[in-house]
Amino acid sequence: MRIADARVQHGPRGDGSFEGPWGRGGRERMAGSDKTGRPAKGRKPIAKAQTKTRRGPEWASGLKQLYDSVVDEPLPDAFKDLLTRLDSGKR
Amino acid sequence: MSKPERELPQRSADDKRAFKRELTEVVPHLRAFARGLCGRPDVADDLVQETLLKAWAAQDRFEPGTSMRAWTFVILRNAYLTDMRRNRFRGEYDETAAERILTAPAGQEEPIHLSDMHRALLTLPPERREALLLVGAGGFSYEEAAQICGCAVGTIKSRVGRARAALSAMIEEGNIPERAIGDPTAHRAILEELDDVAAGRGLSTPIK
Repeated sequence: MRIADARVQHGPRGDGSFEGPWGRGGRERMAGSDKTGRPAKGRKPIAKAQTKTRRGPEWASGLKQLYDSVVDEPLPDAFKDLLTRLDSGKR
Repeated sequence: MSKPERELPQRSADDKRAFKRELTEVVPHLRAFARGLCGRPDVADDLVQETLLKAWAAQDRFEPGTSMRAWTFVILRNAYLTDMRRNRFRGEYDETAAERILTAPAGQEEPIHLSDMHRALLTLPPERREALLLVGAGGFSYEEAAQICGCAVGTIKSRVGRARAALSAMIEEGNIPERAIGDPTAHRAILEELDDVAAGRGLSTPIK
């Protein structure tokens, strides 16, 4: 079984260094990332690397993909509007 | 959220600008966490909006220089648990939206769709689900996740372990429910777990 790849960029964002129960699998993915923690190239065969890791189930990277696929979505205007409204003191 | 026990320091204009910037930056992460918790994108986004309002109102309690992501995740999870108790979430899973962002690469046998993954995730009791989301998806350390959930590190490790085992079993046996929380068994498990949360083991105050 393999994890279906999503057409998104993967990798931790911000302060989210990947330090999970899947240990080495996560760190292996970090190799090749740039300083921002994002992979240098778009698609990566994450699932393949993960299946070779004895310690992590092969679906583990899917969980991260699930999260990252939402992080990488364009932010709906509603959120920008809300923050702008809050900042100007109006509710 | 509890009342602060100490005088809050005055925030400078710089602090306030930084707060808004950091809060803005963390919104995509809040959306991802909320989506993992409650499945439906529109419900998840409502939860994020609620979180932003609460975070804004509580901004004097944010310690500049600490993790905005951790701080806002606490607010989000507390709002989620409160809403769960009010039965606001029906846990309907938005299959169409999930499929849209997914592609099954050509030539792969038996791919695990992220949508299956998400449905399986949604069958987990909320405490295990959030533990797995924080550590396995959000990249928080066990220690950070424990702080966010207001529990011991060992508790988080055990929740993540159980969540992993449950997901592994479901995925490897191909036993992924059609409808996550609508499934009566899963729903009952969640409500039982929520009773524990309501008894005071789940809610935490924002960390400093």
